[in-house]
Amino acid sequence: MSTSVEPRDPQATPEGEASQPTSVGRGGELVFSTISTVSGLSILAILAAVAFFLVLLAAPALTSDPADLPYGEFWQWVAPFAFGTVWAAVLALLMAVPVAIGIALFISHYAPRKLANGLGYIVDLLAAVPSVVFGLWGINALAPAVMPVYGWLNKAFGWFPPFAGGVSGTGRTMLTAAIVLAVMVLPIITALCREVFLQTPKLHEEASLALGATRWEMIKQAVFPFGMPGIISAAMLGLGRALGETMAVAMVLSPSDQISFELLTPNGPNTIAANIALNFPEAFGLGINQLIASGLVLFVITLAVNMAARAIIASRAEFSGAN
Amino acid sequence: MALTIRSRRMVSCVVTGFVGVMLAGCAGPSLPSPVEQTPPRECPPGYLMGAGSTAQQGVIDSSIATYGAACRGSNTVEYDGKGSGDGVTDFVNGLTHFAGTDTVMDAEAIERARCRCNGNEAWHLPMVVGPIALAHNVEGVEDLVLTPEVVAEIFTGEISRWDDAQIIALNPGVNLPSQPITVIHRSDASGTTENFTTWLNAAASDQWASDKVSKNWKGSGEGAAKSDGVATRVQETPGAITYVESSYADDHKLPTAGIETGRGVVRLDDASVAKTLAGARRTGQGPDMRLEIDAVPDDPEAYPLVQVTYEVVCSAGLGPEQTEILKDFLGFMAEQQTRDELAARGYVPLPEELNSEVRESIGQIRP
Repeated sequence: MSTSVEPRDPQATPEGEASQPTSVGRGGELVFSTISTVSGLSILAILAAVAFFLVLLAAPALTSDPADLPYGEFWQWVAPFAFGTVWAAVLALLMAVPVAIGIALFISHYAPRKLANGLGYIVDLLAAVPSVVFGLWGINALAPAVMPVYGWLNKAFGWFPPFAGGVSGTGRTMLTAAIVLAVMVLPIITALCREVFLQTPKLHEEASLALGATRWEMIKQAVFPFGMPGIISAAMLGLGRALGETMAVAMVLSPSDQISFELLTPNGPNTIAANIALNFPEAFGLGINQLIASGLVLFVITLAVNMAARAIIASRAEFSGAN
Repeated sequence: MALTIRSRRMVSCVVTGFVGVMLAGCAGPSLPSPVEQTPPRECPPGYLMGAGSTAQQGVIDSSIATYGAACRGSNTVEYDGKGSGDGVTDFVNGLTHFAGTDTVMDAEAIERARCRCNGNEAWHLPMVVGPIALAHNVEGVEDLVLTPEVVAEIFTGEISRWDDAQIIALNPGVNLPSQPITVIHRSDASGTTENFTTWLNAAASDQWASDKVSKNWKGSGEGAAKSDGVATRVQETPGAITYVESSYADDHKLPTAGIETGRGVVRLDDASVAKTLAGARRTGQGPDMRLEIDAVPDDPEAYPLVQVTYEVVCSAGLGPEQTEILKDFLGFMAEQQTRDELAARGYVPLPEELNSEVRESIGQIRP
């Protein structure tokens, strides 16, 4: 957690160590600093290798004549999938973050100690469920169960564009996919938020309570301001998982290739990752390059989202109770 | 890459040898009687790897199992159902010894296959037929009849209810429910989609334009992944219809629609599929058995929606060891007993005439 609150710390440490004269017979210092430096550099090397691979294999699709591309003009083709990726992930976050904060607060500040421990384990267990199981749950249990609800939403709130249109006959819509994604990102966000909330300085909390604040007011005054950067980075980690999730979306969503905000119709655009998974086995020649190029687009989207999150955390850190 | 294949082969040889020893050791003292009844098959030793079409995976897997049992582990055959496109790519790159494909290779792939076979031609051998069924789930309706035009309009969303006047007109006396039609289609790229849309375009070009002929679905409806996925969704969704390889429709106990060709109603069964294949045109030469099936067959009793999947093999130049085992395995698949077993499992066997030609082609493969 300290990484996201004070991002500059880990970089400073190895440099400081390296410059200090450590040859006082303690070989462990050298070994450890070498190991951490190599680890730090290797993650950069891996990232660079992935980026290099993506660019190299995407280039033919980006440079060749659109008429030769098996799926049509590249940007026109990839736009709905890029939209679908972001749309599904954002919907998932909208549902998951409030619930995750609620669970985390319950565990850290409301629940009795024994219950809190047990609940923490259960949430962590949810993170260990493979995505194919979530996918199966989505198509076999969730989709049939939500169909009547979708019908009602469409009848009652059909004037609201996302609920408009002809309701799907199988329930495998964008909203169902987003609910599955929300359940999948819930444990990550909850676990991180819980840890952050537990870090709130006791003095801040007690000062707030001493001034006559109720528990909810104390949480508003002490816990949230302190935990805000942590909540944001937790949400961003969740977003990262939602953006890249392949299997569950490929199984649950009935995909289309058009940009549509409709949540209850079978017109939900596919996500980039699921689209690659569904089309790669039958792809050949330039088709492979085109699919990899869409992977590059996903890479760039994820990078942009993470940079935005970093910027928000950096600007927030100064105002939080952390210092 | 050659290294991978070699090391893999070594591993499997070791494994096979080990299993063989174990089997021999186990079978030695108490001779199992059922195995002894059929004379043991002489199988060439070695390793054969194929990859490709998922449509024929069921047939190939089942053949590999019976072949392995007949050979008592003296060799290893593997098939990776990763999709036709991948399968052909792996084959022309020399990663596998044969490919399974739903569609005939394009000119570029044929050229590359020639390089892979050391300058020899690659042949298409039709080994597995997969009729495409119009599987549906309409309450109380078993014998639905549709024309190609109506099928096209259903799959474009033009006809959206089961009690549409056009469907009622084709099915007098059938109690069609007042229910919306849910079209289910493949969400992954698929040779089945390509074959189905090719047929729609050929048989009902006014309703199904040629720009909708593709491996990726361009009609309306809801997508599901893989053949099993679409069949399961239809089974679960009242009022649903899909196009799927017939063995999946059987597996899920879904009724299939008959097709009114204008000269009578054709239903999907072994006989109507055999008639279609008998009338198929040859586009390859000699042992290269590429078939083209008319969207509207000349024979009024022929079922028009038949997909033929091929094994792509080197006519020569694969190397002596692999050629031996390839010929033996494909020959085994074309044997009457194997075909009977496949038929018993719900697959449609290749008609007699075509099968004997395939056997001839297999015989002409040289190392």
